[in-house]
Amino acid sequence: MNPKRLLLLPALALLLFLGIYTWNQRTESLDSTAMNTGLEASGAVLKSIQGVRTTITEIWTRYLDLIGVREENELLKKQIAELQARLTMTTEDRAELLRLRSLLQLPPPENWQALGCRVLGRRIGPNSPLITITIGRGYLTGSTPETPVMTTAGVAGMVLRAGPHMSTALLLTDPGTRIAVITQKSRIQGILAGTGQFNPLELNFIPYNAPIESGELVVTSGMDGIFPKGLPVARVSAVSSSDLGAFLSVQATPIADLSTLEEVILLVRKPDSLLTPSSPTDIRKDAAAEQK
Amino acid sequence: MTSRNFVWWGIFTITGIWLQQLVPGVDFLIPGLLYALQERNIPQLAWILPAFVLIQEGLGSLDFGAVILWYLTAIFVFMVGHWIFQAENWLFILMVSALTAASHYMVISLMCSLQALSFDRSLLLHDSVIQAALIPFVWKLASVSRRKVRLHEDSA
Repeated sequence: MNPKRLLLLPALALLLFLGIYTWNQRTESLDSTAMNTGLEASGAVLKSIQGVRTTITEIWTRYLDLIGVREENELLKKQIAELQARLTMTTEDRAELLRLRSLLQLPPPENWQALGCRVLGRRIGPNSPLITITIGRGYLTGSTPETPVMTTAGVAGMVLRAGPHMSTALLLTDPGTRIAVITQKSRIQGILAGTGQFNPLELNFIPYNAPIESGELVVTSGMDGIFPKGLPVARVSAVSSSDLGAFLSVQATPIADLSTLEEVILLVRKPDSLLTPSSPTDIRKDAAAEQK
Repeated sequence: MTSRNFVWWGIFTITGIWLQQLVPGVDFLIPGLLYALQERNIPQLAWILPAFVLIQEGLGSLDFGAVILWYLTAIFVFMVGHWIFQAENWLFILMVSALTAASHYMVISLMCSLQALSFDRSLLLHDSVIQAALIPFVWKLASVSRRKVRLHEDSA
């Protein structure tokens, strides 16, 4: 190929790319096209593969891998007999526990609804420098950007981008994650930030004289308007004086095990809890009613 | 394009997506793109390139554009390399793999900076090194499995 042409072609391609990139930054048309086509198609493939894998595993464990089942069966029968005896003994204790628990139980986050979904993969593809997971729910099935993502143990992250039936969620450990939190015992507010996949979280803006201790639980404060208040997020792992003077350097470990996520819970606001924006006609009607 | 060819690309793409689920942060489709460039079949390239771009952009976590820029860089590297070496030469394949992986690191860093995103540089470097090691093998596997399809096409 002619050297002039070899240089001209990339220059033209770069110009075209810059045009497309700038246009997309304004309109986000290509982003939504990629989410609606690429992510959906890949999601369908990943869901099918997961389905096949689950079926094969089930067939293997239920019908083929029966070595030692007889011995295991007899052992289990013995254990059942033991457990039944223990259960009879603890029925009264259990009834008391249930009564006490109902007295102490805090109400679930008001106006929030929990939706379960499967994790299909983590950081899939070359365009995933952020620490993310791909989940099997999209904007048609309850997952929109900034939807809180949890495990049964605690907060795992939040939804970053959503296609119709698939989404990408940003995990706590990503250096771009920021969550408004409060320490459970000492009630000190701060911002929890990720620092990398294998690094501890950082609890920022904790005053120098704050009585914070290692092992203390950190929960969401609800001040960011994304997470409901009181969800467990992390546990303080180290406290030391910072070079910055005014603040302590506090490290924390996520409560949720982010390395082995298979299913997660999405916390979705109930539709009736959202403030519906008023139309100009409604505003005028309200104003007229107030004047009367 | 024969149906056999279409099926081959379908299987390649599905396998690529599945492998990407197993190895995070790595592109298993780009060796296919490089192989398509090697075949010099423009109509085939005209549908493979947008399909791969849409898949990778959709699966990713950055705004649209990073994959296009990276694939364009890979195509440029391939064209320059092809100008110097023969396309079947192992040295050429290794050179294109290394440069493509290096450009992956640079393009993603650039796009993160443009979008004001903080990211884990060591993780990205790790992904790019795996990418460099992986391209020649997938490329070779693709070319071996593709030989039968091409033989069938040539005889047809």
